[in-house]
Amino acid sequence: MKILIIEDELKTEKYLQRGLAEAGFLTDGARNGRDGLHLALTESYDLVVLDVMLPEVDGWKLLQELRRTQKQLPVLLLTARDQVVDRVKGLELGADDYMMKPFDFAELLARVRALLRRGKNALTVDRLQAADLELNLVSRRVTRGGRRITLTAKEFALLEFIMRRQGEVLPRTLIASQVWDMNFDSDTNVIEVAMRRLRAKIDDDFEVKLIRTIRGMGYVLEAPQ
Amino acid sequence: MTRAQVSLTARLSFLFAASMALALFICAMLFARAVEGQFRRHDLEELDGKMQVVRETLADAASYQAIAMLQPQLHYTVTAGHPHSAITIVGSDGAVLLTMGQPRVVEHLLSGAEDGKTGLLTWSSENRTYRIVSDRVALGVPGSRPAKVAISFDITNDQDFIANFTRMVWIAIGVGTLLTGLIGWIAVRKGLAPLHNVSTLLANVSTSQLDKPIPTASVPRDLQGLIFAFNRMLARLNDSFKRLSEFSSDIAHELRTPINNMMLQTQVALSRKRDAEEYCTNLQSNLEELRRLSRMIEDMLFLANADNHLLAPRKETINLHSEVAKLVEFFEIAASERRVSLIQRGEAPTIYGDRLMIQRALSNLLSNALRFTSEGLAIEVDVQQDEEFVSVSVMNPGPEISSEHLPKIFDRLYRVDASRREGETVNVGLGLAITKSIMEMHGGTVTAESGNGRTRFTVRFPRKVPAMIDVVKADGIQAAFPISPSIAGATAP
Repeated sequence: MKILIIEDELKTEKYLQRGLAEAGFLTDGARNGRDGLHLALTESYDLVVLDVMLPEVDGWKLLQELRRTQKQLPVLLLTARDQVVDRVKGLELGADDYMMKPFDFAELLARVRALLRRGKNALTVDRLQAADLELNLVSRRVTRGGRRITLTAKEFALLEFIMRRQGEVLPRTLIASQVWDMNFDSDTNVIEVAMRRLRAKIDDDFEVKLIRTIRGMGYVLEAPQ
Repeated sequence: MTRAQVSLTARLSFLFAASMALALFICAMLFARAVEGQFRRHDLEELDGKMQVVRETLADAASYQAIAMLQPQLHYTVTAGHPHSAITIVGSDGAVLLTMGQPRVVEHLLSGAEDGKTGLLTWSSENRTYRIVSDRVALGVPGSRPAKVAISFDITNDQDFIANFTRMVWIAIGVGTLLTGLIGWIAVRKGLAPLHNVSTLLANVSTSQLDKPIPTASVPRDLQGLIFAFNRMLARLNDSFKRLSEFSSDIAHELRTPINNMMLQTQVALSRKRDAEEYCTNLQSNLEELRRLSRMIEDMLFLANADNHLLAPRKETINLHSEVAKLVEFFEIAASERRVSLIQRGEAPTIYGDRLMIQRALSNLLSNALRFTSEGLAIEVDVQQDEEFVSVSVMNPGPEISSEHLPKIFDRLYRVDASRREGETVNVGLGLAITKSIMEMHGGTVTAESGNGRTRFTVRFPRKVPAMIDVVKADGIQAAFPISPSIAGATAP
């Protein structure tokens, strides 16, 4: 997966590239609109991260130009301004997602992954599996190592979510919004508690810990290699 | 002098001069007519009088010869008072019985050019003007038929007089108009001087003087109403401006502390070689602090945008019961850690609103309630309706908010216990301000009551579809108050 980052601010561009590279993506960076557009049109990318506030070139025009020739390319907009008009304008001009600075890198990563996953056939599965943990979506049963584990409805939803996104580090805000439909940045520790309780049921009695906390980033469910 | 005042002065003086000119013109016209009429009447009287004398004289003349001998007598009659008169007497058979006067005039009288016309006639020839009267007069000669008598006199001098008079009048009108124009202009300028003074005063108001109202003593009565309104507006602007300044400095203070903390931590960490674990911990701690700052900035931007009507709430139908249920389910997780229970009651009809904003407004109340409720107690959330509103109230048992703090808790950055800041995760004091902002955008309210060991916050949504504030451009503020850039600039974002 190759990602193009068009961002004029030096540190932002550098750390974005590094972060995405470390997350397993190939990255290219452009510090101005002209180079960015040129790269986007001549090379093939799976996703473009575009800062709308570019010097010299109007970010919106760039977006339009990009959309004209590359209809399928997902574009994630970054901006330091947040006004309703900007958001609506961005989506109307063809951006797929929109993030305001300062942003949480974990959140950006999650959204990048979500954008990349779009268009791929959403596999409808009956079961999700990680190591010896099995989640049966039809019968709503969870077992680990053959042993049945009882979860509440919300705990089940939570487990399903992190299992579907196995291997991805999921920030708290994303979990809150996807599992509980809570779309504000909460200062309470609800997700922490919820994950702790889930772990208590899923991991505590087992040697291999599937759910890990990446401090500062989020949680990940992963079968160790 | 301001542009507006010049045109007002010019307008007024022009109108004044124009009215004077019109009035003078009309008067002059009337007067001229009157004078002319007077002359005509006088001339007619005179001519009639002379005609009468001629009639009587002719009645006495018994023969044509006698008539011919009347010349000196008639001469005297006709020319009395009018030196250049003429008379012709023509018999019924056309024979000229008598003529007297200037040959040219006599010729005209005999020519019969005026035959058939009655009344006072006026005839001009070679720069002289004459009045003519003619009549049929019975002769004293027995058996004779009436003769035609025509008398004329020269009124050229009179006409010259009238012409001169008219010319004088026109000149007078012209001069009068100019004079009144000039005087008027000076008078109006002087009269409008207070207005000019007031404009100067207004122009000098700047943001540094918003708290000084314009003194109304020196202002003319008519303008006092305007100045009062202006002063009230100044007071409001001053108020907003102060709050804005305070808010700005408050924000700076709020940002200072976490940033200082991070700097301190980082400096201490760097002051000595440490192992990776310590650095990691340090970085993570900084990250949390940064997240907190980021949230604070977002909240402040939200409030700033809300203030300037730059946020457009989306309108969906919202079922408050289910929204509250979702929130309760979420917060229950944290609540149960401290054995605090959340009780939800009540139903209500759907309302219109922005789902995300309403969620935020309610979650602020719930997280506050959670923070201040002691172990083992219950928070009650009630959804209710009355005629006008649909309301959600969050009631928690816990420390009361005293009546002096109560009205201020919705102010930005206001904290009841100022020293509590460090202990809490994010207790910046913006939560309630945001809730209030959101409620205002929905045409609703948020209120707080506290007493008897309980505190209740209630949000009310109007049942009728509220006129939700639409997105308004920021420079709409300037358009509404086009006073001076220095004032408008203070309120624009």
